[in-house]
Amino acid sequence: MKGVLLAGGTGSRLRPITHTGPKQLVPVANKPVIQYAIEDLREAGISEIGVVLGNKGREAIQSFLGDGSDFGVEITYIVQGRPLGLAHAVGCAESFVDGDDFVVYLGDNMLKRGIVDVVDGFRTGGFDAGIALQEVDNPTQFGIADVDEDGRVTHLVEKPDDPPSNLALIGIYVFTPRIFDAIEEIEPSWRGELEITDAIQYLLDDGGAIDSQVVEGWWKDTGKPEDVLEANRLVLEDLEATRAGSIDTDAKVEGRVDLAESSRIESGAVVRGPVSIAENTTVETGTYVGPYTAIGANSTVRNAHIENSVVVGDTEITTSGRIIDSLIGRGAAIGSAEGKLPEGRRLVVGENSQLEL
Amino acid sequence: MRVITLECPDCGTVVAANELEDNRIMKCPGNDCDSVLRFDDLPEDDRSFYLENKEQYRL
Ligand SMILES: [Zn+2]
Repeated sequence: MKGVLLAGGTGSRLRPITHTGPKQLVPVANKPVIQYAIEDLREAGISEIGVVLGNKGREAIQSFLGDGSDFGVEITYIVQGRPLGLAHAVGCAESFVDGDDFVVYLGDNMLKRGIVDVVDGFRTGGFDAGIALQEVDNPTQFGIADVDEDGRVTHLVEKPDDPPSNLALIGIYVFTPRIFDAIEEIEPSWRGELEITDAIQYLLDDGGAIDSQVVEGWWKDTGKPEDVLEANRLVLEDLEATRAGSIDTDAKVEGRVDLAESSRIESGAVVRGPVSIAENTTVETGTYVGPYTAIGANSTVRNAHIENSVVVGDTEITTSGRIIDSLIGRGAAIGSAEGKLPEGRRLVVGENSQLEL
Repeated sequence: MRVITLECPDCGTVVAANELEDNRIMKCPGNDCDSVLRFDDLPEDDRSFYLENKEQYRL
């Protein structure tokens, strides 16, 4: 079985972070989102992975993943170019897949329990496709599947007014090469995209057997800032902490704190886990780093109070103001206006930034 | 809808027709691959189908 990892998309809902890089490289607990997907595929025994790239952030993704050897997998790149829909992206992978069964994984999705159950369920059944589902509270916002008592899919419907179930399609699919015939038969939707749900519905209408697996544990689409913070919180919840870095004797460090070897927590700082601190970062005196915070590499935090936040990296934070529930992009500097006149906040804010002051 | 792609003969990187047609001639986007890929490398049938149905591939 092969893997097809979809890493296109514009990341418009994550601007300004995605002005300078693709959404798949936004870090969650100091690891790019796409790396979680690669690790899930590998854990399911899949080592040949096709990575489908759009027009945006292509080079950055290729330079991060390389040939896959750093991650124990073998990567082939598939350039989709224009975003013509998920079914088009999957269709572009046909020569790579070369007659095998394959898993499709949306590269900005994260799953607590990985994909082993989904893949195993499909493998045992002789199905034409398998889809992963999760119960949601707001089924009118999702693609929804109707399934029978054996978990066989009977019908798919996109954002229904009258949902037949509360089982939403999440971004994990298992396909046989039959999906390529279905993709060839369908036409672009009203929004001009070739829809994967239409291709699966075509398989169903053509007599195909579609398995479903209801995924236990959390699932997150990291398309928006609040989703990145939520995913960060969920991953840090299970953090295995190694305090490899140096902690000064008068620093107060509580709970699970993952501190990279080259990083340091200085005297007079308080760090309360779960917290992840990446390489070459210093938490200086007077700082409070609260639960569910990830601070990226090459950063300095001084006198600040920060909690439930993601700091991407190469960042200096020296304000004495409290920073909470924040996503701070690479290279940002947040200083202090204390003592400066006239009194007020001084901002250089990039396009599409969101501030609550 | 027909999905048209070209596979780099040297490294296996796959490029969709819309990308090839935008560039006409391009360096293979695979990591460390020096091959040159052309829209004209596609089979005649794929090329003419793409050009006749270009609007579908534009979005
Ligand atoms: Zn090549």
